[in-house]
Amino acid sequence: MKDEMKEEKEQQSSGVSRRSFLRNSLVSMAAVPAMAIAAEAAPAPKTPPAAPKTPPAAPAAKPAKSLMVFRKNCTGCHSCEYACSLYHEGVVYPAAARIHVRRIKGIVDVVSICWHCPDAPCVEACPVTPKKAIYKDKETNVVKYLDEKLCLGSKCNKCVEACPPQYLRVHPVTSKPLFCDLCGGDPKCVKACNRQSRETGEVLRCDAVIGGVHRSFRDVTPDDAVEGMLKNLYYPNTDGGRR
Amino acid sequence: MAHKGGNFGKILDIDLTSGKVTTKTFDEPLARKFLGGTGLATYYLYTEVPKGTDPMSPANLLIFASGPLCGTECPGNRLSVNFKSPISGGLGNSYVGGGVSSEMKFAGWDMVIIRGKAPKLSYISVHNDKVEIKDASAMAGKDTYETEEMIKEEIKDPDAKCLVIGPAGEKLVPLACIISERFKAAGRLGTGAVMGSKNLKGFAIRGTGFVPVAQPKAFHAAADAALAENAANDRAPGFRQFGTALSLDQNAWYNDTLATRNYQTAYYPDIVGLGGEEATRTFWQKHAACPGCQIHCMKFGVLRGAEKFEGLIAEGPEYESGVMEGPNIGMSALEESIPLIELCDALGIDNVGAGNAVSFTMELVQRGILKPDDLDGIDAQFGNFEAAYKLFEAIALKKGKAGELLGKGSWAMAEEIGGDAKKYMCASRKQGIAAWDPRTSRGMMATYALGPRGGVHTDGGSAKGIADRVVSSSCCLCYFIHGTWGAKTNSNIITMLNTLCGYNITEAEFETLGKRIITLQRAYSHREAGDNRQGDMPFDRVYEPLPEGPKAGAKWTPEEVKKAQDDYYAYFGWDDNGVPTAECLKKLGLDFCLDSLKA
Repeated sequence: MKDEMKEEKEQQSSGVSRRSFLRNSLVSMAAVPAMAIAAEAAPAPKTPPAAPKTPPAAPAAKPAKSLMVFRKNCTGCHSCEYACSLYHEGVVYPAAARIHVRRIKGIVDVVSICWHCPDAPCVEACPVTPKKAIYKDKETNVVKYLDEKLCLGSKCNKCVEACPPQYLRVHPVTSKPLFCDLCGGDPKCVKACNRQSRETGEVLRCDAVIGGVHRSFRDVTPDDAVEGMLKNLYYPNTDGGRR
Repeated sequence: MAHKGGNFGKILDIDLTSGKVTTKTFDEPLARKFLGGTGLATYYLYTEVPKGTDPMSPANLLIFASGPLCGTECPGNRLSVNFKSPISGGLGNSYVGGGVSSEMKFAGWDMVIIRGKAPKLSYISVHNDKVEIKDASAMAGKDTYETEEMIKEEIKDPDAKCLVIGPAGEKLVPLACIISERFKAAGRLGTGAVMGSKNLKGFAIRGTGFVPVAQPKAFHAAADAALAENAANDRAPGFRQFGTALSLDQNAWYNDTLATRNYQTAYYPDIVGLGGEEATRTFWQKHAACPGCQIHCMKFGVLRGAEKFEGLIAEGPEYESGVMEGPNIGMSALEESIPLIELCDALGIDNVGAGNAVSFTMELVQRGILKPDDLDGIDAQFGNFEAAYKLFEAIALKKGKAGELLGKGSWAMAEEIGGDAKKYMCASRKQGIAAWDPRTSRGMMATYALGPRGGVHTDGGSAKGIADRVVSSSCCLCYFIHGTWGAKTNSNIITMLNTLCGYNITEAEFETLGKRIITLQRAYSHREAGDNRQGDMPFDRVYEPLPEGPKAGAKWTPEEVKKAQDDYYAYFGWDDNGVPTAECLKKLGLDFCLDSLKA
């Protein structure tokens, strides 16, 4: 009951309920990251009927990039956080990083990344009027501040609440949300991670996506991820506690 | 003088008796003299704990020290825990990996000094500069995993890093240890007992700041080069794949230095069922690293198909835990060694010290010195898993005669039993040694018998090695990272320190730093425990030849031991009895230690 009420409320405030969102995204199954297709051998989305032969506009030819994570392989070394804060803040400053790693129950490491989703619920949730403080940049596929001064910071943080995978965090000093900007197309976290994932298997990568990330990747909260990983790694001890 | 980078110059001083929290500061000249970490903590231990203090009394200090290089992108951070040891009566010093040392720096502290004794069982929660002492009576008797989860839940911060003790620490068992992040331990010399004596069940810290850097560009370049070297080194893949368990198989087949059946031999074919390869095949599920480190040496696994311990999650086997709970007590399969390792972590006992005590007991039973009656009827034979499990449990819970006897550690056991027992004891400076047989692993002899702490395996293999190591542990670096830096270790540390802190340390000053800190530690343990040449004598077993294996016949002779001691004392400029001279103390700027020379 409560959930339904909450949903209704959400619908009123944002105009999109979770249920209707699910429905919509089920329809748009083409929204699957390119690499996920390669990895799971899912049928490739059918190409739309051949368009009339006109040369495509130059900038649109390159699909926008997005991050991808394989949580199971993460060793919890925080190198991504360190690299991220080094690039953005100039020092190692994990609390102000745009990627987060948390070790749960001492045995699983949960990475939280921005999935750069096409519908951007964070932008949707921004209540600032007449112009929202943030917008989704179509070209680079990242959320940007229109003007950081417009952001209400700790008084609001509606975007943090709206983020489906509970990724968004705020800067420890300014209290304004920290959006992943993919370091201008060459994410430093991916570089730092790749330097050491040779033995564990790939954890992070940055790829061009067709139509944006699928919700089945995006809507995983850290708690969901923990549950999945405990089952996957530590079966039959799916609770992760002592025996 | 203000600090340019690396250190904040801020120490959190918590008096548990009165609940008063104060901030202490230290200036740059002092930081330059002792760096931080172990060096600076030993300085405070020496100056603030009066001579002859009872280690279990409120007057003892428990110092959690982070170092200048922690909380930066320099890999391999760990926390130095300093106190007066209830086991050796001298210098107490142990290290724990994980995120707690970098978290301390992010919270804006270089060091936390805990003094006094809380009126009831408590834990400390630190969030940046907010410090609270909270009631922990709900956690009484809980194991380390549960305690940590309860603390994180109560302070509502899943990112906090904790240091906790288990039931063993609460019961003041001398072999108790401090556990962090479920499996990581500051194990040796009785850390947990000292924390327990302060009625402190846990310590949680969380920081949201950063460490200032003196020359950002140069430091990042230096750290990046160090990381790249680390990644490119040809030893790194092995370290990453197997962690320290790499040595389990290597030491059995090539080096002949695997401690077996209380160091009676080093040949143990059953290692195939206990080593890194077997664990990769049947046990390990996940690699794990400490923050900022590329060598993910920790391995988490789950037991499947084991009857009683189905679904047991544990970290290991590492080299030390894998041997002390494996060949050294005659275990032959992972289903036997893993539950013991997990038990030690969960109840909070030092799995090296306790493993040594159990193996010593088993040999005493083998020699007929101890009877099952002395051990509450436990049939402590080598290879008897049930008996070993009961013994470890008895140590941790101080249960019965066995628990009382074994919990003190091998040295005190031998003293208590008397007679021939001392012949079979493998302990240096009153502490049970770790899992490397010193007859074949020649360098280990130096670290066991001569190193600043005694009985531990990580203090370096020669006089210079020991001096270099103590500098790196004053920066709070992990020794495992040295393996991939090799000969470049010192220059890497010097470059990073200079650019981070704005120092201009040279190779010569680096050497002096090592000598100064080791001499300070020696002065402390000489003042408290009377350490001298006699105290540095190894145990009897090293003079017996190794009976079998590729290096059969290896042994030490008294002359070789004497020469090793002479070389060691000469390097640091100590006198013939292994005591720092007044001249040497003055030369190293340790004038405040002159009182240690008085009887």
